[in-house]
Amino acid sequence: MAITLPPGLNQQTLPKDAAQSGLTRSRAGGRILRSATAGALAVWFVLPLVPLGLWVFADRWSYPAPLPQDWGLQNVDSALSRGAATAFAGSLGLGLVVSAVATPLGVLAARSLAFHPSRWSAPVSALLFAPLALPAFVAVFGLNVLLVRLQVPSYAGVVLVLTVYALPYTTYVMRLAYAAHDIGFDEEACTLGATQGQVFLRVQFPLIAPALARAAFLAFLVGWSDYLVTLLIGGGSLVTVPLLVASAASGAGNDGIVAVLSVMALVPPLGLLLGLTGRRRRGGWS
Amino acid sequence: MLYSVSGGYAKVPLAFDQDAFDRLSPALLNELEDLKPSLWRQGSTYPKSSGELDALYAGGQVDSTMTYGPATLTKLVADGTYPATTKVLTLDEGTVGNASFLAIPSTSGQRSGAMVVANIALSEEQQATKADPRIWGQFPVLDSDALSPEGRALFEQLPTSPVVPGYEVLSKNANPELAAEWVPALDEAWRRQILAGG
Amino acid sequence: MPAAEVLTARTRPRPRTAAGHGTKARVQGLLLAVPAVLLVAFVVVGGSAMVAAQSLGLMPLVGRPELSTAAYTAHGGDLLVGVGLSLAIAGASTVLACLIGFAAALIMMQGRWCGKLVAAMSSLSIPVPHIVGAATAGLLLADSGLLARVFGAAERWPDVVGGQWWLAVIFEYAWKESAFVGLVVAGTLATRSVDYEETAALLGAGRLGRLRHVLLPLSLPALIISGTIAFIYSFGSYEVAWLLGRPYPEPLPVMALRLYNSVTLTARPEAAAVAVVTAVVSLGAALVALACLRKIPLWR
Repeated sequence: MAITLPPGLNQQTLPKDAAQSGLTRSRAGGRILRSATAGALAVWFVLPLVPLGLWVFADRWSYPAPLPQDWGLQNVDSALSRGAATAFAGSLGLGLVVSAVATPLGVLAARSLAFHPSRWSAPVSALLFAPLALPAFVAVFGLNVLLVRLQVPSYAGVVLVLTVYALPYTTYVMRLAYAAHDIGFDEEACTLGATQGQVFLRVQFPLIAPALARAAFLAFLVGWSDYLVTLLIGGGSLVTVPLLVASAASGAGNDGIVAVLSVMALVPPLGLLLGLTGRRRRGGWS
Repeated sequence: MLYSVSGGYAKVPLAFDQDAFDRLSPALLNELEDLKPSLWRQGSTYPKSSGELDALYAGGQVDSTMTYGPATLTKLVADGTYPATTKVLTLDEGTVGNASFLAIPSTSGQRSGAMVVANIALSEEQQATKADPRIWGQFPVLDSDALSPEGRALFEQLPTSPVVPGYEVLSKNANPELAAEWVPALDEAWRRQILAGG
Repeated sequence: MPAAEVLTARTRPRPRTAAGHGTKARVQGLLLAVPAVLLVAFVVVGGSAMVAAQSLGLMPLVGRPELSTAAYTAHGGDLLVGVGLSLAIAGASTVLACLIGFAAALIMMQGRWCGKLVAAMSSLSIPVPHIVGAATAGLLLADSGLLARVFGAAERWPDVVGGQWWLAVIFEYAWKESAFVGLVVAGTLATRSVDYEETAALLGAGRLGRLRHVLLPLSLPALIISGTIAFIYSFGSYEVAWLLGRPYPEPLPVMALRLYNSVTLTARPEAAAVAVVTAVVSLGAALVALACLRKIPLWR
């Protein structure tokens, strides 16, 4: 699953004044070209979200009217009566559980890779990144039989597969954080008489907290945005927002409901993202 | 359509058999082939599902759609999804009709419980609720002559629709439905010859 | 993924290992990775093995297991067409995503309001689930979608959704993945390009020269990594092609899911065969990308 964070979150350092250097400053023609490109790119990224904004408030929008004929909030009621609230809770729960499992496992694996290099490190990291090269539906086709025979509850099955698809991201983010982590701090704290618990709480945790937040967010996104794994392994017992979107989008007359559900699918991760970037800006964690 | 090209539903055995399929399907497929120029995008492609066909109808891309739940049309026309000029078309030859049913698996461990549920689903109250277009809008399976007076009152309270004719009109000359084994065979033949045939 | 930091991580000195080098410490270190490794091995190795077994007729739903390749030849022509179609869709959307994403990264890197605007807009699309992206792309691009309505195009609107060229599907992937590629590449450039650019400018390199000899080579590893992830994702993903595509010919995941859900009992091995083919091509793409990375001096 291709997901990432904006550079503000990924980078330890941002070149605030990259363009300010006199050597690379552009001339007027270049500036106009750049503004035009920036405008075009902004439209490219935002345009697909525009229909959502209109349809959410469209109580009546028959073809071929270019704009909604009646505005209102009926779609919200319709979405709620389709079980939007339950699905929202289902999605939130799934995202949080996947995040709660995949983040600590990623931390452990990353610690092993970063601080205990051995001849096993290469195959271990190859295996941990393998999910990126294996389409999820392939694994699900195979596992479904296995999980049924082993009588694994479907919820556990969904969490298992999604955790595995989140692990490359959490491991990777934590591996980078540990690569930049100076173990000297730990040793110094030990020398000064800190216990292991104190070292973890007062030294290690503050140092890796931003990375931990990024890893947890990425894992949350994997659970939050999944459709196929939830559908095939969950077998309908677990209803999430993407499942409702799919069922509404394949019928007629549901465009407004699709829009409400889509906005529901967007708000929590965007809120988390803003929370993460905001904290960083204020320097809370760094 | 198979009924129509075969000369009526009486000519098609309800249970699937390969000989009947081989004998009857060519006429059907030819008819579908001939229809292509009149279809959406000249039959170069097809909607994947009836939901998609409905969406095309709502978007003014096709002039008709089909449904197993005509009672839902009232709401779709009222909220402006379907055009106000939408009319239900009943064919002289009749249309396929069926009743939803509940089944109990032979391996079920809760046979009597399932029967109780089935009885509730068949009750006058549940059938009347199901027939309400504001709830679901599916026609009842109960014989109207056998209803109790209270039950009859429940059904009489249901609103009539400006779009959908009554059950008597729609169910007139209803054709029986083929056995499920016909579906994959017809599906595959359609996929191979009509859909992939370009 | 922030592949950007692969490079920066490599240039930093390796951290000293905390726990000496005794065998016990080494085993303990290895044990830390065991939970993650077990889960991944179960899903990846177990899942692939079971799929392969199903496709070869070793796990039929009914009847005796029997080794056979019948599932692979049952839809011979359609399977090959599916490979071609999936490659074309994934290829076209990845190329677009890389071009647009690279342009976006260059703008983001410049900072100022242009860069901030593009960075903010592209991060908007990051948390959008693909199924939502597909639904909203449909609302925008369908024959009766927003654009067709606004332009009053009616009959003249091209077949974007469900059309011959799969344009809506390619658009959705290109849209989502261009933001991904853009942010990853911007991440790489942000940490490394300033000094190089200034040096090049000092030595008299023009804008195009700087782009070609400095920015492009610096971004190449990140471009390859993010492009490959985007390619494999769009090659093996179902919902977008299902919602915005046409029913024939079918991309591999759509074909696999249709067979998987078919009521015909023999269709399961055929679905598994399509899955195996998808997995083999995806793995091939990953290996090609790794081989390319190894050839790049910056990567080593």
